[in-house]
Amino acid sequence: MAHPITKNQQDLCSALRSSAELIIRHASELIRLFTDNQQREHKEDAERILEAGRDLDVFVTDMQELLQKGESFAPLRHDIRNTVGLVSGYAEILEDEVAHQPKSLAELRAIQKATGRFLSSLDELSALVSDEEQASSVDELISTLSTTARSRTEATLGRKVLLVDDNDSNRELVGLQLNRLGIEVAEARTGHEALSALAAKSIDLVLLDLMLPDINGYDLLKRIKRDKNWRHLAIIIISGVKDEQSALRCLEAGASDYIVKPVNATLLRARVTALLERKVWEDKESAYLSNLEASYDFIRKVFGRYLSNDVMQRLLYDGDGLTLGGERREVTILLADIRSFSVISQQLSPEDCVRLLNNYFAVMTDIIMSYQGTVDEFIGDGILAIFGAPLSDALHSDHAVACALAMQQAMPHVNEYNVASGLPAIDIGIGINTGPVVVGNVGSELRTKYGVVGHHVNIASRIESCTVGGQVLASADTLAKMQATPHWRKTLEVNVKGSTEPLQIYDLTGIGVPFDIILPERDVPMEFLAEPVALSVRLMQGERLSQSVGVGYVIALNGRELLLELDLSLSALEEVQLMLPDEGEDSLAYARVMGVDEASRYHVTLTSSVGRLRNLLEQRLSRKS
Amino acid sequence: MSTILLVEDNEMNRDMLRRRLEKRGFKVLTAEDGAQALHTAKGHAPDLILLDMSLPLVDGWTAAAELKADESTRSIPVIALTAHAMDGDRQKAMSAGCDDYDTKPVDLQRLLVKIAALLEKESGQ
Repeated sequence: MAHPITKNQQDLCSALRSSAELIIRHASELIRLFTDNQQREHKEDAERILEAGRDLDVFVTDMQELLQKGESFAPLRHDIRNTVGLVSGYAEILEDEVAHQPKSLAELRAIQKATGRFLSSLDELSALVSDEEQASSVDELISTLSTTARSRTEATLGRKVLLVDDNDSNRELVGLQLNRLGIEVAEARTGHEALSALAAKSIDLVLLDLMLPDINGYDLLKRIKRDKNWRHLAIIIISGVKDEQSALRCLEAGASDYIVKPVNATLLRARVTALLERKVWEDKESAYLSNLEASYDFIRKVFGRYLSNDVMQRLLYDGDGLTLGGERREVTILLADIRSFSVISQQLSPEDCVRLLNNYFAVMTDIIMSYQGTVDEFIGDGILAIFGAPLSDALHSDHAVACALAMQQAMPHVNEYNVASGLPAIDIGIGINTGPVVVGNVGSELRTKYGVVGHHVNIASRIESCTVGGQVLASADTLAKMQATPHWRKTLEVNVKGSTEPLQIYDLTGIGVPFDIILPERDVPMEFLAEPVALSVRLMQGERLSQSVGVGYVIALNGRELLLELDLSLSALEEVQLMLPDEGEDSLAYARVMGVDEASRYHVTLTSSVGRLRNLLEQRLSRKS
Repeated sequence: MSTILLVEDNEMNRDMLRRRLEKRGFKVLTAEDGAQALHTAKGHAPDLILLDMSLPLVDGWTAAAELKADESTRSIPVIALTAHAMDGDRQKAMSAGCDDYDTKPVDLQRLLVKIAALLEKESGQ
């Protein structure tokens, strides 16, 4: 919208021009001084100041033209401020270097002063002219956080101005003018009345006459500016004398403006409005910040502690990243579980159990976040993580697969901690699936959480249930969406409830660039022997051997883990003595029963990772292949 | 001695700010645009980046986002420099991943406080 240039804007442009001219004049003088002293390098810097001063002068002309056309000078703002920065920056460099040359120093100080004045006139002009632009952008921001935005026209309405003047008719006159702006006027006749009014009421702006019967207005100004509750209060000085020194002194002491009597009504209104508007912005900014804080809290509550700062930041600042409420979206779901955890947990005190889980969860949460995943839930010892929500991620399947492999890679570290802390080593299995699910806030008013529901979540869980320790199994749907190259050991087919077709799943061992993660061989899952190997199995009862000897067959093994078919009935955690009948006592080893599978096969783990039995079994395995 | 990468397209501004920072004991690397900034940040691993937001070719917002997306540069603190505080630049800078924000013309004292805070935070981690 076009507003022709106002008197006030015109005045400010003149102020800008004279500051620019002052800079030019002092810079020229500086060049002369440096030329006389043959300080060539300093002269170059002074020339830079001169050049920037001339640029400022040109900018003022450009600004005036834009204002006359009713256009915004906002596009010039960056360049103008940059140029102001050049003047003060080079002046500061020189001040440092010519500290011993009083004449040059005086010129530099004059340049800094003119620069300061240029900047404050520029700010004032910006406040007058570009409020509308600022209003729209800040309002937009504020409305996205659904606060009630105060409109610009309300800048003066209901605001409180304290009028400090001992002259009754002056107060009445100024008071009337302010009332017309919808401003509430508080009056004080003396400095002491002013101080008690400030203490009693919430004042937005002070109009202060310098001539007061008790405290000198200048001292009162300094007193207000010293108080930490009042320091930010805008103060306009009204003075009977047109004295540049006194005005400067007041501005330096923190006054926002200086008006000479007789007070021009238009000028007063413009200045009061400008300052109150500035206060509205300041209030808005602090409201905005506290709102931001509140949203931050809200989002933290909803999403739990398990979003990376990265994701949190994007959620908070990017409107489009966040859609609360249900939404159908393609995501990749990752489920990780500790193998035989129910057995392991029975051996542990509740404290140790929590200690083990906390360490494991902390390590895994970090890894999941680093692959842009969101830990949606801890279910007992399980972790449910989502990739591709709440923030979209075109590479969600790649990230999930890479993440799962990295999680398996981190298990030795987790177990190092466990062993060092007197906790058992653990193994995890991870299942991954990709597909459209419903994501969003689920829950009641008391407890809301971001969650994921749908058939594909169940499939992920089914896949996970097929894993053995150290394994990463992913669906064909996940692999189809990947951009990096997956490496797998073998494929399996499993039946899923609700689907007639068996599901094809991949036993992953690695992912190519850019992730480049290959699991080490030690994570190979159970490998089946070509021919089962017979063992004699004896149950241990405490330190003693029981009398019952059974016959078992090792059908598969993976390092310390054996899969046994047995004619004995064993319970979880029971310890057995194993022996290869052909090899005799040399092959004696001990193992603990970790669990029984659906086919009544026992998972046992050798209590020691070294031993003849294991070597012999592995020889059989290599003979097979 | 900490190394600062100063990204600023205006030659005089770059020279001026570089000299002021050097006077305060920083080692200063410079870049003229976003692309150079990314290249130098990767090659020299500066301790902190001062990033002017209005740059040619690759602008500051994009450069900041790219710096923060890259594994090798993401941990380098970035201070955005823009012309005005009130027009949403602060939020924009933060959403681009910048760690802090300051306005031009640069108030060196204020900027040094921000630099010190970020460097301290970085070394504390």
